[in-house]
Amino acid sequence: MQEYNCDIYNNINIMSANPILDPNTFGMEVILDLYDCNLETIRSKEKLQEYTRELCQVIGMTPYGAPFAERFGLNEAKTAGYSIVQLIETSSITGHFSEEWNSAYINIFSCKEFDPKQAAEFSKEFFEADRVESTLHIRK
Amino acid sequence: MTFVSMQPSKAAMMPGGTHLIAELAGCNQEVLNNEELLREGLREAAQTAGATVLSVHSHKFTPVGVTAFALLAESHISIHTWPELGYAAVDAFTCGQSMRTELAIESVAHALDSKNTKVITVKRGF
Repeated sequence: MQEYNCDIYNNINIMSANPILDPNTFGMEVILDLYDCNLETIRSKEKLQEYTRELCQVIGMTPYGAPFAERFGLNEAKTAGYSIVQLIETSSITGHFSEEWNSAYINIFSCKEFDPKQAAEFSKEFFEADRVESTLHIRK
Repeated sequence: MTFVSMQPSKAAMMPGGTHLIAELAGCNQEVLNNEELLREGLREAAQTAGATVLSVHSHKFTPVGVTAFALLAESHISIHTWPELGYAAVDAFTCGQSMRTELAIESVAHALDSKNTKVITVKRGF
């Protein structure tokens, strides 16, 4: 297999050094899987829209338009729940929420640098998650 | 096309989803800047992979570049393009086992005429 030169960090706590991005990179993507979330929060369209608004403020992103949120995946219990998309001026924030598993699956992709640890900590607190699996991927 | 797998931690080893992160280089620059073609490309990719498209969203940046999303019953496919550099960042995230996620990436790579496609697989726990 061809070697793939990429940067992936499964523990964003190690990503305290700045800058993360350099002129040879296209952006950064933080993947957050949050478990044992507050069920009322992930079932609330208003709370999810509030999440993207506040996350943008916390990590210094500018929303483009209103977030799109709809409840999907109703054919299977484990996939039933809201999905949300917030375009930002420097790319996007997406979230998928499983009501069966009380879990949230967040992607934050931006060509403007942000603090992944701050994003993870804010998300964990907002959803009252007991556990977070986080990955930072540098796009290049 | 090169694939690299990232295994989830033991804590995340539950029935879950597959997230493919694809870097597409050497793409057709005109296609990368064509919002309508990209939206159509997302629909075709979802269909090829056996997914159900719920809605498509997009935005064309000034002077160049497009962000396009297909929200699926099985999660989403997204494209962010840099036409001036012939590059696209593509993500395909699906839950469940019914969708052939890699076919979505192959379809997008074909639509963009990508000369060099690299894919990382991230397993996500449910």
